[in-house]
Formats: sequence, C-alpha cells, structure tokens
Amino acid sequence: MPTSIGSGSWQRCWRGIEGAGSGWKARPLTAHGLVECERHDLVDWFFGLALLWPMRSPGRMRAMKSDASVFRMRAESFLIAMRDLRELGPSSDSALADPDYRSAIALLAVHSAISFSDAILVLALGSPSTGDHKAAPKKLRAAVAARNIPGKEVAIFSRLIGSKHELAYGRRNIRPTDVASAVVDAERFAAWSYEAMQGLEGRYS
Amino acid sequence: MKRTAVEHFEQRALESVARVLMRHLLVPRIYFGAHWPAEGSEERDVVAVDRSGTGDVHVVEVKASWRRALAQANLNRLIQVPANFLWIAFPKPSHYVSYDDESVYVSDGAGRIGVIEVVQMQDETLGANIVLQAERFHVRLDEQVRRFVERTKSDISFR
Repeated sequence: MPTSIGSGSWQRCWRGIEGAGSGWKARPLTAHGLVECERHDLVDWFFGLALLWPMRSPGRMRAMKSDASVFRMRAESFLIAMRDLRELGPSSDSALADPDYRSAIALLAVHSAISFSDAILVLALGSPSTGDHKAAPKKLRAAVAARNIPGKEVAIFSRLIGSKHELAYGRRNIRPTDVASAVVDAERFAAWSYEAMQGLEGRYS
Repeated sequence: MKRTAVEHFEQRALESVARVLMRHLLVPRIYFGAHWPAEGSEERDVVAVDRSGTGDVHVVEVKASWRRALAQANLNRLIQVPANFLWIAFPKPSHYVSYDDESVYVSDGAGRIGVIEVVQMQDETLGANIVLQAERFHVRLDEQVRRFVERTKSDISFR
C-alpha cells in the first residue's frame, strides 16, 4: 500500500529516486526534472525525507519560480483581457458589460483564477492541478494550509470553478449579475493570490 | 475650516486618479494621503502598490493647475520621491501643452514622470486620462513596500 510523507500519498522527489531502487514510482512532471512519486514501502522513509531536501535548494526554487511565473503571467493575461472587455461597456460596472462580451468576460474571470491557483500550487508543491479542475480547490486549500497561509479565499476559487461548466456550456443566457459576480470574485482571488505567492516566494514585480 | 478652491479640486481629483490607476494596474492597493516611504515622510496624494501590495509603487501628485504641476521646481521635488513610477495629475489645460520635455525625465538614468489629465465629465463628476505614460525609475523598494503595506491601511483594495 502506498505510504506518504506529509499530507498525501503522492509526493514530489527527484528523478534520481526512481533509479535508486528505493521503492518510489516516478513520472516526469516538468521540464526541470521535477517528478511525482508514489512510495510503495516504508523501509526508506528517512531516505525519502533526505532526498526531498533538494526541493528547497536555491536551484530547485529558481526552477519552481520560473514555472510559477508562466502560470502567473497567463493569469494576468486573462485578468487584463477580462478588464479590457468590461471597459468596452458603457461604464466600469461589470453588470453593464456589453452583452456581446458577457460570456467571454465571465470565462476569462474563471480562467484567470485557475491559472493563479496553478501558480500557487507550483510554488507550494512543484506541480499545478491536473485534469479535473473541480479537485483544484481542495488541493490548493491543503497546499496553502501546509505553508501556514490563510486560505479562506479558496472558497472564492471554488465558486468560480463551480460556475465554469454553466458559464461555458450551460443552456441559459449569462445574466449581468453572473458577469458582475465572476469579475468581483476573480479580482478578489487575484489579490489574495499575489499575497499568497509573496508568502511563498517573495515579491513579484 | 473652509477649504480653498484649490484644495477642493485636489481632494475631488483623488478619486478619479485612483480609478485611472485601477484600470492601469492589476488589483492595486491604493492609499490617499499616506506617508511614503516611511512614517516620518511627507504625505503623498495617492500611493498605489500594484498586485495587491506586492508589486511596483506608483506615487501621484495632484495639483489644481497645470502650470504649478509642471513647474521645474515641483518636478525636481517630485523626482526625488522613491517610487517605481511617478505621476503628476492636474486639470486638462484649455490649450495644447507638450508634456514630453526633459523636465519629466530623470537627468542621470531611466525614468520619466507620467502625466494624468483630470477632466470635467458631462455629469459634473471628474474623470482622468493618462496622457503621458510614466516610465520606470530603477529603484529597489522591496523592503520599504513590505513595511509600508504592513503599517498602512489601504483606502481601496480588492480583498
């Protein structure tokens, strides 16, 4: 049965672990050599801890920051596009956004939050969310809690993720209030994300 | 105490300047009349810290007349304020004025003071437009920003 160090059965470790015959099953995760590993025995528990140490080495942190910045810039791109589309309306009130752009604005809000969440996950864990976006809030909550970062704003992220399917594929028209709420949530979540990222890696500029 | 017309304009313009910065920056924290960079420093009309208080610092000075705003002595004083971006805001002049002359540039390096024009809207409110983009001053302010954000309550934030 898989065992774990920390909060989950999946742990990150160096690519070298797999080859070391330590009982870890690994798969590549990023271009920087980070892998996700599942540990199948408890024999080398201390050995595994020792190997996790390089994750926080300066080189490792630089690589994680580099990966995280890709997600952060993507999030900002969505956020800027959301704001610019909203500005095309008669006022900066999101509820009055041009009906032609309502769907786009709301979806950009959701995608901005997803990318901010991934940036935080990369900084905290070394990897973004995978596949099922609905699982992302739970992963994010655990990740920030493990680093002592207040995470009540993850509820905002949950709300945005929860609305994604309806906004993208739902049968009903998107209402002005849906847009206004998505924009407010996206901006609040972005503000929290910057502070969480700062807590994890220092200032962004 | 009764406010003068100048003070009245400068107070009214703060909100429109804040709105233009909110459009220009990403979820900034905005402070009116805050002491920047340290507690003992002068009050700045508007301080905005980009990315929810974790990014660049923008300092805006609001003046009730473009002549006072663009006076060499005023710009020389403003350019001494430590900030990543500096702005001067004033009412839109009634005739064309070129802003892009050497007085808005720092003499010995990178950086340009940006210009924000404040305009009267149809509904008698004030609006603001960036008419000369500020250029980055190359200063490292990480520690001052961290302390400033910790000790100062923002007037506008997205949290």
